[in-house]
Amino acid sequence: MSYHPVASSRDLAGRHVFQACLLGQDIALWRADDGTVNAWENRCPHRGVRLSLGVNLGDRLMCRYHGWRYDSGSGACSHIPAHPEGPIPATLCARRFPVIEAGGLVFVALGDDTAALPTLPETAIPLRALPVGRPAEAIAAALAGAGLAAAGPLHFAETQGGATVHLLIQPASGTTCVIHGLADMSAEALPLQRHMSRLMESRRRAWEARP
Amino acid sequence: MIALHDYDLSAEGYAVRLFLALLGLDYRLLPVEFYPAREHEGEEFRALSPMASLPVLVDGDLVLTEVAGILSYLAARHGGADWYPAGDAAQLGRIGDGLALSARLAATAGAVRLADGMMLPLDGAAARAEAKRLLRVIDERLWFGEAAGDDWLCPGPRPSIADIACFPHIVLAEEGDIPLIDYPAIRRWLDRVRRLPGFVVMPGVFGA
Amino acid sequence: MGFKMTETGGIDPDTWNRWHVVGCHDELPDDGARATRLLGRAITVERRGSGAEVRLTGGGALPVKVAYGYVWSSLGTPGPLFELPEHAEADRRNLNGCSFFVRTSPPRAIENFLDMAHFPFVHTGILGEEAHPDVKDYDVAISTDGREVVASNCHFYQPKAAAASTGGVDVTYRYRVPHPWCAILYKDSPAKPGRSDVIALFVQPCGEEEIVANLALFILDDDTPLPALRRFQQQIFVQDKPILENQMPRRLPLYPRADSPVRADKASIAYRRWLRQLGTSFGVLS
Ligand code: FES
Ligand SMILES: [Fe+2]
Repeated sequence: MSYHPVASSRDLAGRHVFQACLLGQDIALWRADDGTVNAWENRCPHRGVRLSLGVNLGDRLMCRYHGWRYDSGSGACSHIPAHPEGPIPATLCARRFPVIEAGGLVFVALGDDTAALPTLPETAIPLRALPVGRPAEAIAAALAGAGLAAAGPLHFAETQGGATVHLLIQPASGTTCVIHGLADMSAEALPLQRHMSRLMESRRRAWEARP
Repeated sequence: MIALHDYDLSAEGYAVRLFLALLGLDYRLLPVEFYPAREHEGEEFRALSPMASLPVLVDGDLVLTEVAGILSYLAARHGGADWYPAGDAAQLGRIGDGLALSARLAATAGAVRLADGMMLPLDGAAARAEAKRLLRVIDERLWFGEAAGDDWLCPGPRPSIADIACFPHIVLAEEGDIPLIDYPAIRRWLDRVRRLPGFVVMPGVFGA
Repeated sequence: MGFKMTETGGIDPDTWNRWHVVGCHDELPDDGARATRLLGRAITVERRGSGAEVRLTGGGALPVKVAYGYVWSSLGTPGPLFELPEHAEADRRNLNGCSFFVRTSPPRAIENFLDMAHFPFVHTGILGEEAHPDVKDYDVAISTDGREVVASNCHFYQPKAAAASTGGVDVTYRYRVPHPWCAILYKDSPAKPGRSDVIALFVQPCGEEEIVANLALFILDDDTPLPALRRFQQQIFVQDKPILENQMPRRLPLYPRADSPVRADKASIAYRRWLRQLGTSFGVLS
């Protein structure tokens, strides 16, 4: 399983839990106060409640249902309020996925075989990601059909506003995807970000209007 | 003292209760059973408000029956410059836009939430589709707000009553089967509202 | 017995042949039938005086029983409904606390009803508080005839245990699960020391991941007005709704090591074992 983009670095705000879906797998992503990025199965090991409903405590994530806490990094459960005296089974652990930040995006792989990341520009600036109610393959075909250069099966490039824009498609559920954008530029990014947001919105309207 | 005729599970009522809490105002809560008794449609309640809707705020002789009016009144009367930028015409216009947006959310995300949970008749698919369109617009606005250093629906350093009016319908949208996973800037904004000093919850809403 | 799963659309015999709740009798419309769903089938429920009529939509009549204030029906050949003798005690007030539609499976709702450990986190300030999160050991057993799960000697500190409460108390609970989708709670009565208020969760299995949760009250409280009683139950139940709708998978996993139970989850462990014994396949993952 290779790495796929699931968020931008900026998406992982302090004390926030970001919710993503990759290839049908629901993921809770959160950044600890020390900067560690955690990508966990979005399901509390105790009784299955989504961890994205939980609380980012800075070094631990607390589940909303029974207040169990899981440590950043290891994912190990370190507190069970119903039994404050313990013991906590050593195997009790949030299921973790390999995660790396690169080029302003956050990439997750669902398996341990973590193939290389896509080659990304050094000075890229993330654009606003756009969820689309169409499968990743359909969007890849549409982008290829619109004449964008393919740098990989789910990676396209085009020139917009004088900059090279990379579009990376995250296969979300079987019927939806998210398009992450990176602009290869170091200058003031906001005008291009605005232009791309409107352009992608209008492309999305066209894609979703088609059956 | 301010009296609020309200139903615990009403998102509109929650907007008012939340704002009263943020302002630190005391008030008397008069529960009205929307479900299942539909007390708000009874003759007794219509005598108070012919709109037959919740919430209703009564302050002396003043009776207000819409969230936009109630929040505007409380902000102007008790909110000071933080909540009521009296001299800033553009900002007042934006806040008015935001209040109208909250009414659109109430008619879509809010309606489908109530109809779902309480098994009332509604065209759920149409309501969800329109709610999704609104959420996309709001998410884009908040994303660019963040990029410009703004945390709230209207530009500037402080939240406005537009945030307070929209928050309940959005935070409760998933109850009506409108997932929020596709609106990451909205999900961060919900966290920011939860962290406002004085924030209170309602059933179905978690705190910070 | 010659029971063919194909004739039941794949629904297991225990589920097929049970009575299931399909509505609160008092809250049925005065005129006409209410459309709803039972085990994935569209049905209509209509009041007929003190009785009721239940039909498959566009099809035949189904068995009907009115009991404990609710209408019950079945797709198969039901035996007797479980006993709830408190319903007939003259000094109790019987009412429907609330009915809400929830996107979850029937057994997830029952498990949540049997769970005390969530009180401080989900019902903060009412049924629990974060300063008192510990769940003391309690007893749980499947009855010798295999007909119900019973949990007893459950103790928990509650800041506001009922609509009539005036302060925090250590309450004692007892639970019965006499039906895969019905659970009954016996809870110290704040009004009449030594006796129990009875609160039941009757789950209508609309589909495998769609239910109507009905909270029935049989309580010893002559003073609290009806709307205040309903208000308390609605608040509590709606606090549980986002939890139930965010439990993944929605169907209850019965296979080994699906979840990580601890001592506080003894009731849920016994409940899951009982569902396996009954051969329940509706709303679960085996
Ligand atoms: S389900 Fe997460 S703590 Fe129990
Ligand atoms: Fe609960």
